[in-house]
Amino acid sequence: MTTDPLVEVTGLRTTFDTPKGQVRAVDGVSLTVGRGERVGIVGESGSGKSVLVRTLMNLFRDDPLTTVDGQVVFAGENVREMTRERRRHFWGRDIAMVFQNPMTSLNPVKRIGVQITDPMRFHLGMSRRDAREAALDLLVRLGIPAPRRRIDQYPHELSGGMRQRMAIAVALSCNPKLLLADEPTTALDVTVQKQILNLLDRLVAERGMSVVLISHDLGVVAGRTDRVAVMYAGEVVEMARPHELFRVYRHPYTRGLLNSAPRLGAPKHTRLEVIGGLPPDLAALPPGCRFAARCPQVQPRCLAERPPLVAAGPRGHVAACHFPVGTPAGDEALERNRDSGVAAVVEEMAS
Amino acid sequence: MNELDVLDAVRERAVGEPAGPRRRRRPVAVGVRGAVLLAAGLLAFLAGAGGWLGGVPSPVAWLLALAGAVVAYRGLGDLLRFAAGPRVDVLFWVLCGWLVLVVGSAALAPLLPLPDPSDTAASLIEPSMARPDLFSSHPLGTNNFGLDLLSRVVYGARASLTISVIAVAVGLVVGGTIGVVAGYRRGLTDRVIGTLVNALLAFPPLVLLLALATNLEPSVSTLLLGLSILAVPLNVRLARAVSMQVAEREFVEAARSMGATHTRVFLRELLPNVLPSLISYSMIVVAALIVAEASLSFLGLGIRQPEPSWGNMIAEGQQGVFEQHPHVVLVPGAALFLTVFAFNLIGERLQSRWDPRRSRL
Repeated sequence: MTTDPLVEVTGLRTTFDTPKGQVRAVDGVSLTVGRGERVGIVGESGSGKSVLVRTLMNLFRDDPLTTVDGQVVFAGENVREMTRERRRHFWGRDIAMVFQNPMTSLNPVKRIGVQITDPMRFHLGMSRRDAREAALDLLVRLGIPAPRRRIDQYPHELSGGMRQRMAIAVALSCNPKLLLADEPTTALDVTVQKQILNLLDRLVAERGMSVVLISHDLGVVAGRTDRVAVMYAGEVVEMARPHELFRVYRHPYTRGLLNSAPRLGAPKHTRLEVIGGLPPDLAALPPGCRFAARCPQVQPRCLAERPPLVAAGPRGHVAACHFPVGTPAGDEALERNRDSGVAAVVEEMAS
Repeated sequence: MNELDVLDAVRERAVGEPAGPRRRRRPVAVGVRGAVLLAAGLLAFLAGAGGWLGGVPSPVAWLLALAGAVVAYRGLGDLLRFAAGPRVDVLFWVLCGWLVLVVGSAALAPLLPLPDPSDTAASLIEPSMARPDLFSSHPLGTNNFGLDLLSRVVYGARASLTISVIAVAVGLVVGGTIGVVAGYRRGLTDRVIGTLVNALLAFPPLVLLLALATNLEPSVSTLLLGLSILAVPLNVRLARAVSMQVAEREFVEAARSMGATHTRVFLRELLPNVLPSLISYSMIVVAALIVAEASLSFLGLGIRQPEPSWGNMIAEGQQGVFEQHPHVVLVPGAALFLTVFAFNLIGERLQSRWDPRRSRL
């Protein structure tokens, strides 16, 4: 891994116009992905993970109801200012995406082979025969048995895990520099999940690709990424190396996420900890910290002032919290709330 | 009992039906019964409908013809089951056979040994209003001018089918394209197209056709124009609905994210998914257009006498002719009914096979 960034995202904001008002799905995210770096993004449903990577690809450019602000620079090139010609080959050849559900991400009426070779022929100008050979080669490396038979089958003839491998083959077909994997294993069986993730890992390492791996499962991201960003309500609230993040988390939301994962070693009938409440309405965001309403150590300052993302530890560990977990300020805040209750904070604000 | 027999027996008990190649032996008795029933039924039908009982059609003759048709149909069903197994869809295949017969004879009409369908000068020496008699030179009888009804039915089919199929093809290509574009682009394009299509659909079809036929010259091309105008909005609506459904699936976004242009997404992702629905729907539209064409020709605004069309042939039964010579109306009427029924049923079967809602891929 080098520190030379492949992608630099600064102040990215994606807003959808809906009947309910402006939904700020991604709100001021800055992120870099180095060459060959694997970045994980975790967060619950609706925290803006998928919208972030789609904005990063500039997939919303044709959508009249979506407004995008901020900058995305890919290998020194401003993604949002690409010409139509450039963009055509940017997608697929420089950047590609693996989607969540392999049941719907393959076209049911086209043979697998055609779906894998189409991008090769379109982007790389390969002949039908060369592309087919390359596709067979790819299938072999994806560990697909009898690739010569599989390549001429239709998606419905394959199992879920097999289909996701095919979807990965489509994404990898033109050897992109950056692979975006949007919950690639969420729709799959647990036993197949690990296979697919390991496979993805191996292929990416072989090619020195950069990866953005999205998941709502911290376990998926833990061993497979160099850096993890935690997203909440459209913002990155904490970012660190996975080892550091799991040991010395600073944001109360990260703590909540980690605590709410069931553990195999825990005694029977252990109550699963949950984060109470719901994420805020993205169309009517509170002025202060977005996690304040669910935070056990919330303070009046949190409701009024939005915390910036600041250094919170070594090696680029950043967190957005006025009273970070594990610091004296955070402990004191938690203690105070334990004595007087969270309600007291809200009352204090109201008065 | 060997192993295979045991397996088959187990499967038969579990599934409740005979299984395995060993049990597929079809009882010859069914075949024989089918052949006998078919022969007897046809004979009874001919006896009843063919006028063998002589002279005026009596209720007995009609009943005999009806019973004969039913028995013949049962016999045909038995024969089909004998030939293709017990689960064959008899009605479907019988109607397919009918369509093949109609389309085939219409296509090959000039090559068939049929008398001229419209040359009244040549038919002067023929008997007029001859009753159907399979063993005469006019198997389905003749009309007022002594023109052969079999020939007229075949040439009528030629006209009806050509016009309807061309109109449907225009509807499929033009309507399908517009519909898929509307369903994919959405937004303003969709709203404009939707409004125009709804306006066209709100217009009573027969009134539209009548207006066209009276303002323009009643001719084959006017007929084609009118029927195409009817077919286009129907296809637009269906194509729009299906492509909207397809466009929301992830593979369209996946194709976009792999750099596919809009044209490419349209041609390679959407169209192959929308086409099956459109084609099966087209069968039903063909049926509707055959009826529309027949209605216009019946009113004298479509194909004009002496050129035959099923519609204007039925019109020959007006002013008391039907009561005296029912065959003049019944022959083209039966052809029209069977053909429309066949297109509807086949279209419906195809639709349920290709229903996009059933393919959860």
